Amino acid sequence: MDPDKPLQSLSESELSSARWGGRAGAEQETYRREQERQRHEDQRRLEERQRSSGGRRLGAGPASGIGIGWLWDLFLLALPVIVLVAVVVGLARGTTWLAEESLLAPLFPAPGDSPARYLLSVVTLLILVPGSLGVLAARLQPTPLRLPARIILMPAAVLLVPVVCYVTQVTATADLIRLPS
Amino acid sequence: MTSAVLNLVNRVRLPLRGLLTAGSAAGGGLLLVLGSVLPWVAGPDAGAVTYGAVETATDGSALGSRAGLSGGDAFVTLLAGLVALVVAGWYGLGRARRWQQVTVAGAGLLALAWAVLNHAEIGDVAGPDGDRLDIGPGVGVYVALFGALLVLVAAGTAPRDVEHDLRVLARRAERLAQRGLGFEAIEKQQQLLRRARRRPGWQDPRLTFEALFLARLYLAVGHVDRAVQLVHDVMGDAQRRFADDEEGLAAATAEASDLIGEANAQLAAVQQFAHQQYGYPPPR
Repeated sequence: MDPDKPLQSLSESELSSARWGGRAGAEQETYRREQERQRHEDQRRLEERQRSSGGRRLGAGPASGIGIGWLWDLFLLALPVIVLVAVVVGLARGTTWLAEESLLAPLFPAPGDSPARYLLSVVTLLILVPGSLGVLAARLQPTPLRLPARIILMPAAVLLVPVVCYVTQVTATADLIRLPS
Repeated sequence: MTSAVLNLVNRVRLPLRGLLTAGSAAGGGLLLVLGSVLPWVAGPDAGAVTYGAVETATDGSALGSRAGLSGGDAFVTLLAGLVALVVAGWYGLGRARRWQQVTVAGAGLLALAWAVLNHAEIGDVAGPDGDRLDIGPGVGVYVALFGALLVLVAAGTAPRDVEHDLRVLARRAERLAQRGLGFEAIEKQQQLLRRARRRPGWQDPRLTFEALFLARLYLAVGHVDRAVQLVHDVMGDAQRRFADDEEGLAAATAEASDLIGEANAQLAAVQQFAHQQYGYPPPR
């Protein structure tokens, strides 16, 4: 038997003779394989159990309705992406562009607006920008993307709150003439 | 009076209520979309209104009316209408989760606020030299107002199927467990049990099986002590909970003994390992 052959590629009988031969690491390899088998066994039993006693649980029975969750996910993804692009481009081009030409322009308060409109603008922007990012992050929690959601989307959402407040303050005090409307 | 009405609403069977909710959410959403597209400004001077931001030759930037889609305010009502339509689809498919109600209520409130604001302010802004246009809210504002109210009706009548949320949580925990994400599955299952504490309450026999499933998840990630403690706690008063359901008690007992057996096997494996590797006393 080749003593340099890596332990992972040994067959069961080779591993057994290597263990009796006192080769270093053979015990650990045996234990690792045992654990692996145990895990597979656990998995199998779990699934078997779900088939037998699972019928009495709350989640029993087929899922109701047809899955249209992807539609909602698409919407949730599109909304913050559009808003984020608008905000980033706006920060690059200056708040004037953001308040006059962007898709979000009507949401930013202008000089001469009533307090009610200012408040509603800020609330709507907060719902659209950090709010949709937060919902998206929460939506990603049960998926493999939960870590990026937690370390990128959530801080971005929190940071955007003061940004939104600042930009609304800037647009509300901009040098702008109101036409009668 | 109010409670009598509430009782009446609650007594109506869920499918009918779901249909009412889906219908009013869909109708409200359609009206919101329609109202956003229709003109928001009416009156003798409606043709003279400038919409959005413009550059004037003499004074630089100027801002005209923001009413309607051409002004931009109607984008919010349009968005709210689309959201209401999507959620109406969910209610139509028989789903009644809590976030659906929250979403519909939020969309309705936001659309209502913008429509009311426009209704109050159209024609209020004077030009630089104090001149005003003779305009008022158009048909679009009223259609959007009515649509927003319908969406709020949908939120008010939304069926609250608490068990639906629990079923979704249970399935999610199962899927996570099947994908081998043991700790995430435990998190969901714990969330499920926390929520179910109020309704349907611990006395529901199905929760016994949910708790036993949590114990199984504990075992799958190696928390033997927690699993055993949980099985012990759950089965402690199982007799009382399954007073008139011998079959259920038998199933729960079988599951519990299987769990304990597996916990023993895991402990034995640990003892075996400790014996072989570090010379601890051999397992009995």
